[in-house]
Amino acid sequence: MCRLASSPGVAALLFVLLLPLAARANPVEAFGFGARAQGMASAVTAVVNDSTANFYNPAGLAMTDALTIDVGYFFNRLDLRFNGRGQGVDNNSGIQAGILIPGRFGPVRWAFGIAVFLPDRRLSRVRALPQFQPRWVLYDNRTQRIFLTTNIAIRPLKWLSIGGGVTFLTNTSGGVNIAGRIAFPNPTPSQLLTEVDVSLGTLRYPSVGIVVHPIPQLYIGVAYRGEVKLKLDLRATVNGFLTDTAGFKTKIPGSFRLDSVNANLFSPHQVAFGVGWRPIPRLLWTVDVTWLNWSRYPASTADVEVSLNVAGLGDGLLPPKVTVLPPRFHDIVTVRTGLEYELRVNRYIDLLFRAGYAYEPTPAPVQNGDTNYVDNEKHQITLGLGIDINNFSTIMTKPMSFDIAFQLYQLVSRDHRKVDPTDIVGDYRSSGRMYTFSISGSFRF
Amino acid sequence: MKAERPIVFAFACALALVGVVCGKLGGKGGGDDNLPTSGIIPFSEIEQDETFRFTGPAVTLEGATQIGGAAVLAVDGRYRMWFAATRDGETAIYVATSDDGLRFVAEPTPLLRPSADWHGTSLAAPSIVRRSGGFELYLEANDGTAIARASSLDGTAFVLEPAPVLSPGLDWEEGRVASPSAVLDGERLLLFYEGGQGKGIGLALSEGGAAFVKSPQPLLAPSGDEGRWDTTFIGTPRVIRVVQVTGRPIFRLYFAGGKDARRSIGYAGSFDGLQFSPFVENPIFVPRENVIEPCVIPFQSGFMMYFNRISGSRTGIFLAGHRLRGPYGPAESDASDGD
Repeated sequence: MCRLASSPGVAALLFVLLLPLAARANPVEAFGFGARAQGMASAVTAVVNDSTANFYNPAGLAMTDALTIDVGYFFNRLDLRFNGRGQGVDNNSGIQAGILIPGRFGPVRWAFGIAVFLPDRRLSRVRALPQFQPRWVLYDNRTQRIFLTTNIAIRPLKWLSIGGGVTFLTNTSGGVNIAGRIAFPNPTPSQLLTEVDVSLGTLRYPSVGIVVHPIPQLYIGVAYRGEVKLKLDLRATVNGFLTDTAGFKTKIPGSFRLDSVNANLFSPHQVAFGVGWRPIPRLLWTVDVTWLNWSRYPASTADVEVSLNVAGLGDGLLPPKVTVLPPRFHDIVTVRTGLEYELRVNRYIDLLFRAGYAYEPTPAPVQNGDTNYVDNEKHQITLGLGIDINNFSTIMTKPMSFDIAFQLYQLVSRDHRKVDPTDIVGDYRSSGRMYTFSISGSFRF
Repeated sequence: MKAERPIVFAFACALALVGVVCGKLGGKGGGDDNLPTSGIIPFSEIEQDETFRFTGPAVTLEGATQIGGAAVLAVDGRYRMWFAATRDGETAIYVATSDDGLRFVAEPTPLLRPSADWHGTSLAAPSIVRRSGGFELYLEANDGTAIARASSLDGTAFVLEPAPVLSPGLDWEEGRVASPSAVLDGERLLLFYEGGQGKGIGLALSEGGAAFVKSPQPLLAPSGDEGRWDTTFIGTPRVIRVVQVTGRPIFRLYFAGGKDARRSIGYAGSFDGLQFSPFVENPIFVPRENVIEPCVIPFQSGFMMYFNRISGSRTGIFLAGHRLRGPYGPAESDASDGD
């Protein structure tokens, strides 16, 4: 194919150019990535071979020899309810895109890929709620992120592909420093200097995968994605003197400090094992089993430390520190299965019918205490349709694909019965549905 | 050169996508609508709420020198309030109705007047309960010498029983049973009351319409702790039984507590109606003036408290709301008997 596209230099250039677009978590974990995969309930760990392999299994990048550009759009509607009434949790939509650049080092195939999800409503959201406030903990800000991942893969043997990469995330920390003189009781003559110091650090987490294709009918894949813990650190410091208004004869040195640490977003370690099987050439059946290490989930509530140091005034003036309770999440195993049937209409057109089902238990326990981190177990049903257009032009000699997918997530109704009759939230029931629709096009060269 | 086109195309796509995304940043995020609540905290006075633009009192009565003891029920899409008013030296029970739950119009003639010797000159502190398709009113007679009961089939004409349904007798009651609050729980009727002058909240049970049997000790009593809000007074209970969305009933007890002459509102909860846990952050409602007799009902998207302000320049029945607006959304639905 094209020398320039398969040049390692171009791949490296792309890699470097896109590095500064640091992403801030992984919204595609919630709803999948790419219309083809979403039509099969994301059960594609063993069979993915387009740019969405950047997420599902980096090894899949080397399973094709076509330079591929994928562009699509995704939107969802979240109908999440407490006691039958919706919370207005933000819907989410955005552009899914990716590029897969294959090449060769002698007999060894390699591929480089970039994938991105760009939300078009909100690029990011930070929420630090009190722990007693009920919230849909996995959806109220988890999906509002830019997602960017870059991977490389090699295929040293015809039946073996190995890949890996890194996803870059930003981490926010910083604060406000105020120094000067505070006049009391009339604050008008106060003199204060303010300094804001905020830094956007970088977080990285790895992903690796392998695909084994021992016989034409069988694909086996394993993928690992690392843990992400996005913290939001805020700090406010006041240093100076408390003075009287008249003449500043009295000067009392003092300081006030507030530190707030909040786990703004968390994605767990996860290992996905997938199998793809073609009982007949035109039918593909897939099964994925994924382990997610949710037991390491940190409380998504701000842990606030406040200290006051003014002569004559003690910490008794400050509100008591709120103890952040552990969320007590547990690990889960999800099961996904998908079907894809290819129907040849004529030499130019192939239709691909897809369907899938997934069961996702919830990592969150019943919220019967002082916390209200709500999530429910889910059944997911998906449908998809694709059209492959062959021999489109002399330039695009490889198939051009257009896919659509619909996903329905049915949340199993769950009762949260409080142990304390004076709980300010009381018993409640969580339930809901989520719908997603996606469309994408793949252009191969 | 042909090979470069896909790369150029890819960059063009990426730039276009970034442009599209950056041009459509979102507004305020959602996720806070219709949050579940027990109706404990916070309550804030309606007259300080710009949404309602209502300064109270909830009801007035010409010639009345004292008004208090509201018991409010949503009946057939309207709100009905039974209350006590003192006119010409006699305290009697009156009824008022309202379309919005804020502004009540009182019937000028009393619904029930003291008519027996043991009533003295006062029937007060009504508590309403719906039972077997009819209504029962429990009343404080003669400033706490007994508790009376009146019944009605249609909620408009009540007939007083000739004898008290509850009289003082336990030591801790100090000769006074007052401020009754009746709650039906299946076949049993729970009657909460104030013993003595704020010496605590007692409970009497009636199974299947039989006579009331008292618990020997108060459910709640003044703490006696000088550092607390309820040092010397616990009384004027108002209890609602709410079947939660999980099917489990909960008894919500709102009461007045205080130290010396000061009175604020506290809360306690129970799953069985027999043992109550006080809220650790009591009191839940502390206005500038002294308040007693907190009648709380589910109201629109939250709760409404009808309380009796007994000090300050304006006394009578006033209102406080819980989650009727703000981050929990505007009031939308009609009041109901449950969550």
